[in-house]
Amino acid sequence: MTARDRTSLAQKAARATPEPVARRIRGLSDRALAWLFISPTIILLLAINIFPLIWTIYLSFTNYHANRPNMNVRWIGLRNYQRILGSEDIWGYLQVTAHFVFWTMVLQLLLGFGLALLINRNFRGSSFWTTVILIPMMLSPAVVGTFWTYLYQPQTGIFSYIVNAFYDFGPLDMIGSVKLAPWAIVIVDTWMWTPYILLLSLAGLRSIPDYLYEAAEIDRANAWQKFWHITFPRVLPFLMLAVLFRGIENFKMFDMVAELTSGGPGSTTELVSITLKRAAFESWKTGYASAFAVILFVTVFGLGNIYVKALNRVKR
Amino acid sequence: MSELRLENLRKTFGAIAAVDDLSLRVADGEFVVLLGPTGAGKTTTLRLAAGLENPDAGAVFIGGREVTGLTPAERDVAFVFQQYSLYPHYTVFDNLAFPLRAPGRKWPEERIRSRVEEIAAMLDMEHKLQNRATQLSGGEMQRVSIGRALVRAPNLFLMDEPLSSLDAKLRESMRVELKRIQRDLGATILYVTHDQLEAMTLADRIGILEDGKLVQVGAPREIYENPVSVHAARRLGSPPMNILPPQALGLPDLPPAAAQIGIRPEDVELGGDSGIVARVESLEHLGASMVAGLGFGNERLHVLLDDSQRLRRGQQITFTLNREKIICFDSQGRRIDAPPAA
Ligand SMILES: Nc1ncnc2c1ncn2[C@@H]1O[C@H](COP(=O)(O)OP(=O)(O)OP(=O)(O)O)[C@@H](O)[C@H]1O
Ligand SMILES: [Mg+2]
Repeated sequence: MTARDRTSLAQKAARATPEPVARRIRGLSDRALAWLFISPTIILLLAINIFPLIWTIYLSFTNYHANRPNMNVRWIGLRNYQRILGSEDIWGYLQVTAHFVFWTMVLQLLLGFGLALLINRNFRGSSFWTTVILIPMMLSPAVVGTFWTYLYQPQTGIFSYIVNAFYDFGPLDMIGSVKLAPWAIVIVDTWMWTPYILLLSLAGLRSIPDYLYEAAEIDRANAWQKFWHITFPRVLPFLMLAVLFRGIENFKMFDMVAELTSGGPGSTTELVSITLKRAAFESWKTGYASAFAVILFVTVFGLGNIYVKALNRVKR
Repeated sequence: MSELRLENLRKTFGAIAAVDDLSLRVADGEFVVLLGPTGAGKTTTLRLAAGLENPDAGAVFIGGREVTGLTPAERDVAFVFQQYSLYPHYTVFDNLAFPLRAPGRKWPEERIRSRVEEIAAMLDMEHKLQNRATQLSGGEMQRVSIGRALVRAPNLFLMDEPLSSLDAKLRESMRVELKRIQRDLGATILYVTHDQLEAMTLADRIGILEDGKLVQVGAPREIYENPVSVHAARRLGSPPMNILPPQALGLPDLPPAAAQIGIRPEDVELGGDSGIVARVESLEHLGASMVAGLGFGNERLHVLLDDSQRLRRGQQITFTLNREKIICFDSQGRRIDAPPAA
């Protein structure tokens, strides 16, 4: 578009506008007009995202307590950060979180991709089963957490009953046992979110044209080679994307686990988000919690960036 | 021995008979081209021969052995697909080496390397061996696809419009190259195209395919001169044969059943005192030759001339048909034999 086209467009727009408004608009340059149009979005973004972020960073250097508005706020430098990074408890919670993220991702990838391979064979009723499998994903995490507390009941719950049908462990106290609780939350998250990986895997599988397999068949490739040289590389970017989304979500997992175990027994399932919420809204150590939030944000952001770089390499 | 024999093959998709009672023999070392318009069943025929599709009826023989029902791997054929089917995330080298690395083949890596390099040189792709398949142009991908078929010497080559995505110049050089390779290897090739020039230049024999049926098989010259139907006649030659109603030409002594007559553009003569008067409606210069479109009555006629003739658009001119070359067809478009000698 040439400069002349643009001015004439602006003039046309101005002519089509009611007189008082038009008089005002005509005085504006295109650039000013552009700013006028995007300013509401920018203001909202600043107000809702950027400002709180900067405010959090500021608070993380103070001893602010949100429940004591009259207390005077002191700048305490890096003290919050030192306390967090020096605390063994915090490293414990990070470990719990890492355990949760790692195992949910591994199990969901294996199950989701495996199921996708099965469903992709287009057997009779495959679309029905796809829909059925997708149901858990559509539920609210808090609801899922709550009703799994019932399924996990050692005496009456169906989970214990089913496991014992295969091997006689006796009543399984999934939530109450220190050993089992970390796996209890992994199982529920896997139950809920495997469908998501399944969906993305299916999208990847369906995007592979048949003639690639036919060409491989002509070349006398066996089933394993077809999988390894065609299916896997084609689906890998989809899987990596799924892991990115789910990994970030699970790193900040709160609602489902809060309902299911509230971090217990002890702190065996205390994910960092639960710690954070407690520090912020139960102990009301706002400055301290802000510092923790900043640390988590930087961690996720950094890992995410590294991961996206790897993803882009795979895509090429 | 690697002759291919298709016997009464039939394949339907729902109500459509993609291939209908098709029989064809490709002798050992022969280059047969299937020529037909889009949807004629060319790809389906190749897929049946390769074993990628199972026929509803009929049988396939390769090297005298019945292979109907066997997998593509068991038939040991090479297939060049209409869409270039490369492994996108691999280099050209790995793509070419893939068939050689198939399980059960067990070639030493050294031998694979020299074989791949030999093929790459043949296809003029040596300098691109380390490129990824996604970094190639369409024509280069197509050449790699052809290379992947050539790299192992199979019983039989099946090629589905392998040159369709190349530009005219490359297509011509690939045509020459392909013919040379076929002669050198003594390869048996069943080749599909809808480009009549490719068919004419490559084929030992051409099969004309129409709606899943093989309407005529023969040497290019033979089909060109003696087509069995209007369809077959118009499939070969550019511009295609003129098809005209006989009454427009006032020809006596034609068989009474003749509903249409065909005459090749090069068999029309211009000038002379007797003849039909027409008007020059279009002129197309093709380098050494030229195509003139003549209009007379409600009919149009293409004439192939050498470029020395001076014609203007709109000019009145007389033409005569070379009577020996006129071919008569009945109302169904079938050839009527023996046009009367003048
Ligand atoms: N898998 C399929 N399912 C349904 N119909 C098919 C299938 N494959 C081919 N057909 C039909 O069979 C007919 C022949 O198809 P085919 O692909 O053999 O044509 P073709 O001669 O190769 O055409 P083109 O020159 O366009 O490649 C077409 O009418 C097509 O619609
Ligand atoms: Mg085709």
